[in-house]
Parts: sequence; structure tokens; C-alpha cells
Amino acid sequence: MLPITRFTGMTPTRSRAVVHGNLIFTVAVADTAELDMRKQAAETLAKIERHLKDAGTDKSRLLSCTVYIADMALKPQMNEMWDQWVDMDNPPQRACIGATLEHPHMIEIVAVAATKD
Amino acid sequence: MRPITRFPGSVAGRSSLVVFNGMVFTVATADTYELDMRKQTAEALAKIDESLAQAGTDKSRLLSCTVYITDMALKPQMNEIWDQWVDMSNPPQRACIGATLEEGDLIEIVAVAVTKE
Repeated sequence: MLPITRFTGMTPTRSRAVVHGNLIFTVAVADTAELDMRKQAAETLAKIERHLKDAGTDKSRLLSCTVYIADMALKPQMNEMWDQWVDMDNPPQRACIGATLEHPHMIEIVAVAATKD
Repeated sequence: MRPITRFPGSVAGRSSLVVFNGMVFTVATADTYELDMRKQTAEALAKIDESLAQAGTDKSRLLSCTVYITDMALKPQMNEIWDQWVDMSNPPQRACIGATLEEGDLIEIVAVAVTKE
């Protein structure tokens, strides 16, 4: 049986990253409570990057990202930060979905990536 | 390092299809802005078919689909088209979620499949 490596999240009953075989599953929200989509998007993306680093990989190995945002009208602001952040030579499949999130979160990103094996 | 194959989406910084280690990640919305759930569903599903074909596989190899729709009242219309489309002998795990999508889109489908290797 292939082992599963789990990186504990803020709450002991959730992992912020899980690695199995060549795949990494991770999730992030911003730490700031400031209701600023650009800031929250930048923080969330930086956290995804940290989680990928913890798992020994990086954003060039992203496979799939689902970006949940609380207000679809702010999608252009999120996209602005996404475009600055994403590896343009290696973009993941991405979906952006308007959803209800925990206050004060404006964005939550669920990502699947590949390891560097 | 195992290779990742990416097929560009309509916008830079996103892929419409990513293939890694026998797994296929894809997403689709309809091209039409006609606010007709049956039509948009058929188009989105046809696009999923196209993406799977690009990856050398087909809907019989789907593992998981998340169907986001903007109006839960239209779920029966989406289901009607889904039921006509899906491989009844090989249905994926499916979730249908009410969400906010970009204006003009009534449906967005995120799918995970496997190749035929």
C-alpha cells in the first residue's frame, strides 16, 4: 500500500495538504481578514505555493485548481493576481466558481498537483 | 520527473486539459450565451467529450464530475441531458452544486478521468 503523507491544517481534523504517490491535494484561504480580493488572492496563492513546497514540488507542477470566490463581480481582481502568479508555461486546468465561504474569506483555492518524482 | 501534458484554454494562464500519469483533468462551459440549460449542458458535455478525445480517452473512463449550475430549479433539465449523454455502464461519481458562474454561463463541469493506458 502506498503511504499517504498528511500535513496538518489549522484544525486537527483537516489536512492542508495530502500526498499520495505522485499526487498532492491541497487547499488554502487567506490569513488576512481584510476584505480585499487582490490581497486575499495573493495570500491564498502564496499559501498554495508554500504547501506545494512542503510537499517538495512547485506551481509548475499544478494540474488542477478550483478557485471559489464569494463575489463573482470581483473575478477580474482575482484574475489579475492569478495572472501575475501562475507559471504561464505550465498553467493548470482552472475553474472559478462563485460560492458562499466562511466570513471573512473571499476566496478559497483547492488544488491538485504532481510531485517532482 | 514524469511529464505533464497541457492543452491551452481560451485564456492564457489556464489549461483546458491537463494529463498526468494516466489521469486527465478537464473543465468545460458552453460556448453559447443562450440562457437555455439543455443547450448549455449539451454543449458543455460535448466539450468534455472533445477534451477527453484529445487526451486519447472517452467518457467511459470518467472517474468524477462536479457539475456547477446557477439555478438548482434547472437541475432536472441538466439531468435530462446528462442521462442521454453519460455512459450508463460506466457512470462517474457525480456531484451537482448550485453556484454563481460568470455571466452567460448556466453550467460549468469539472471532470477527472483516466487515460486508456
